[in-house]
Amino acid sequence: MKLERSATPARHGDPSTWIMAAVLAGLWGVLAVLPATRGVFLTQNNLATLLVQSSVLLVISVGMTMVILIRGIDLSVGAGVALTGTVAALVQIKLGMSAPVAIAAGLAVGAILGGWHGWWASRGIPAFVVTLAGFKAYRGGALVLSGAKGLSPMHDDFAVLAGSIPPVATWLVVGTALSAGLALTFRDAARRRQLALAPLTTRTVALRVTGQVVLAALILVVFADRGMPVQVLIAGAVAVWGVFVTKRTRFGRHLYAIGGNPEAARLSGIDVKRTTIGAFVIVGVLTAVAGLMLAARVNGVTPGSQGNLLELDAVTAVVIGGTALAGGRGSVVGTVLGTLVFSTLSNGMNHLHVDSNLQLIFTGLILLVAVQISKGKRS
Amino acid sequence: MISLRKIGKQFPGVRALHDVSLDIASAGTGEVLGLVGENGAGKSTLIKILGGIYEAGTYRGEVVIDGVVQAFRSTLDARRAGIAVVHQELALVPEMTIAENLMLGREPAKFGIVDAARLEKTARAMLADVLGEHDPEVERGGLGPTRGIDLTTPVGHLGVGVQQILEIARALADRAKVIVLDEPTAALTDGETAKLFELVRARKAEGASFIYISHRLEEIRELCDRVAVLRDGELVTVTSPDDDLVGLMTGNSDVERARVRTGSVWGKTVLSVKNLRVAHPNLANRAVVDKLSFDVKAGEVVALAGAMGAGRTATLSALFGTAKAGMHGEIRVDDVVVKIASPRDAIAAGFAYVPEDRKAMGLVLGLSVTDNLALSALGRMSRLGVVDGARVELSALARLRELSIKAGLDMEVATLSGGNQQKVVIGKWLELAPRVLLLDEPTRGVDVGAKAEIYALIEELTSKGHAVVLASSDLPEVVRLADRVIVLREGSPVGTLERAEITPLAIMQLAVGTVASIMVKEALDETRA
Repeated sequence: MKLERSATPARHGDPSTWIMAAVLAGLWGVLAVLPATRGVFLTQNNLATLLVQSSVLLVISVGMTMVILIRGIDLSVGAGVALTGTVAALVQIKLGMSAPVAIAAGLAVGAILGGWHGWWASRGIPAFVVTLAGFKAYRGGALVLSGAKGLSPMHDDFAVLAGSIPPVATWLVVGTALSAGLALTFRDAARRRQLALAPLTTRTVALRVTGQVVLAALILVVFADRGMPVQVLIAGAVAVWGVFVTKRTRFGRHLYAIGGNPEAARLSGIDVKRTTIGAFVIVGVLTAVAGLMLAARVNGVTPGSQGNLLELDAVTAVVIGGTALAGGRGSVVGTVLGTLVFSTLSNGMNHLHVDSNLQLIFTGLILLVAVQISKGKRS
Repeated sequence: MISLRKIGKQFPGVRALHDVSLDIASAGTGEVLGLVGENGAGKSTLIKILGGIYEAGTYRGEVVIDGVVQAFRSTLDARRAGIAVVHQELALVPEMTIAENLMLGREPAKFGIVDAARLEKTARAMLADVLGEHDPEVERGGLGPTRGIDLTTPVGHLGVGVQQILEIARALADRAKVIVLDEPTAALTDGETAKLFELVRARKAEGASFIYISHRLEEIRELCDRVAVLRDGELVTVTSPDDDLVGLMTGNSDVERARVRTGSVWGKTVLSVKNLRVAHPNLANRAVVDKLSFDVKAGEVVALAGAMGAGRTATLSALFGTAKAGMHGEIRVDDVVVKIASPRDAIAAGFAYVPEDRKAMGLVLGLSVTDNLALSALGRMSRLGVVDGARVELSALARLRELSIKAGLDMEVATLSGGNQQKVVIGKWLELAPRVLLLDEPTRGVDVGAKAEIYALIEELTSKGHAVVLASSDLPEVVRLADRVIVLREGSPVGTLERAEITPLAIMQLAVGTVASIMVKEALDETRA
């Protein structure tokens, strides 16, 4: 059977992704040359700091993207970070257990919270309300469990999460990831040949290969000699996993269908309830991951304030990245860029010695501008 | 006189309208001007310009009313100038009541506080005036569903047909000089359509003019004084309704006309429904479908006919597992009793469903053609939850060709014409090779060409042994496709027509009952005379 070539241009991602990438590059360029930053912005040190600072937010934002895609939201992630961190800290400090046990306990709590949200949301209770309840309750839970006292320090074995992997391992990780990415590109090409589909254009292949190589090179430039921080490693892995899940798995495609039109999705035989619960469990587990990362980074937990406002920062990052709060549109790649833009702005403003209260005002304005950009592009 | 002068409109990469000039009488004597053309011919663009949706300055040419060039900046401007547009898509607020919807934007209020009682009274007067509900003679003619309705019912609880009537009533109440009706009968039964025509004629006699857009050429012939034919954004001609409209629209006078179904080979019984009862979603002890039994053989098309609310859609949606208040009865597929509590159960049992409202229920408008075609079969095209993108694309390509969907794989479904969208809704099921296709109004709002293609497609599917249950308010469509017609009235079957007995009149007689049927017959005879 001969099949005509698809007459449509191949996809090169959502245009807003490209815009966001350009915005990020532009920001970095400006911050690099502004005299007020004294040339420190584009240094290895600063980029490493920037990426470590972005890690917790990125992990949460990836999960947030998935629930926003299905017209949901999770307002409880900040409090969830405190609660899961508190649980892990108690397991270590009060029960004297090892880091793996503490981590497992934190993750389990995260999964349970997510499942709880998903159970309600899948029964038609607005996610906003369900997770607003969590926003209150988990902060309270963390305070009750800890006796409203700071928990510190974590045991030494927990510090792995705040450490770095050696340079050799960094090369190995980046190399493996790059090979996997390239292999996937060529596997796609082979599979299309096998099914006699129009071959991937040279441009598509070139774009994908260049993108992957450039990304790997950037990471190596920053981390090759000092070793990659575990926080960045985790965030990177979560991001790659998130892109894969949303773009290439049945679950991920169903997120877009449900967000775009839940009724049509249900009538097409998609298990809307299960998918909804799945998305909330994912954001719950990722909240726990972030909670553990943060507990390791600050070496303890301050139950009353740890993770404060993280939920809103995550929503901001997701929206800057072009994901629609109305659901059905957006991408994890956009969220990664949105998170980096968000972190770059605060990092940059610190270098420019902008007052932290003023920073809040700017961040708010930038959110509006970003939404306007992604809206304007659609019409 | 309302004149459109050399109207042109350009979209990125598409010339939607080019040099269209039209006059519509608007004072003294009214007229009904038909506007026909295939989907994409420019009808919608033209009325959006006339109705102020495309602001002055975004198109070329002029809209002139009584010698004055108009520059509409909004629909409100157009309405003030005497132009009311009833769009194909309903513009009612589902959560608000009938009265509130009728009075939207002109609520009686003091100091900003709405006088609810007066609002309802005015709305009722408006409805009565427009529909002539006080006139018992008119009442019998149709529009039954609006009679005795509580005006405080939220509009969302009403059927599409009733909503459509409300919207038309709202436009008529404006006393506009020119009223544009865009596919007003798409959701109406024949009785309701007859009533609408009556209203249009009455208003015409009072001096109002209409622009009437419809894919149903028999309606154009019946109602219109003149017909403007658009093709590819240009005005082909303004002609008599008795001209060869299909030929003018398609630019090909040899276009294939209604072809009657030739007997297909019928296999064994695929679907057997016994004593189906579907509970009323809101009222206990009431049923929207009751005592319904029928069989469908492989290769057969069984049509459910009846007035709006007779239980056609309720039957199909119950078979697909979406009956809100539950159902009873025995359903067998290939002689195996199946239990259907959800769409997933129904799909597993071999059903596929093409719902009446494709945008709300059939498609994810923001996703691509490929993604929509893969909606129901993604599981089959994945391994360990990972989607095989190449297989998805291969299957989508096959659908594009099988169904001659004129669209690219990556195009957003929202940008497709109605006909192509409908083919996507049908196409998304084919990968699953369903045993029974449940089709609800499969050609609503699609153009003549796509309609013929969808009919051909249905015939091809039956020839492959699929069984089809069709629900349609379009009687020529039922006659064209059905091997057997089950006529429903208030949820129960009142008669079955076999192949040779299927005529629009026979269906109507059963659907509206014997007393009324005499009136219908008279009405039909009258229109023929």
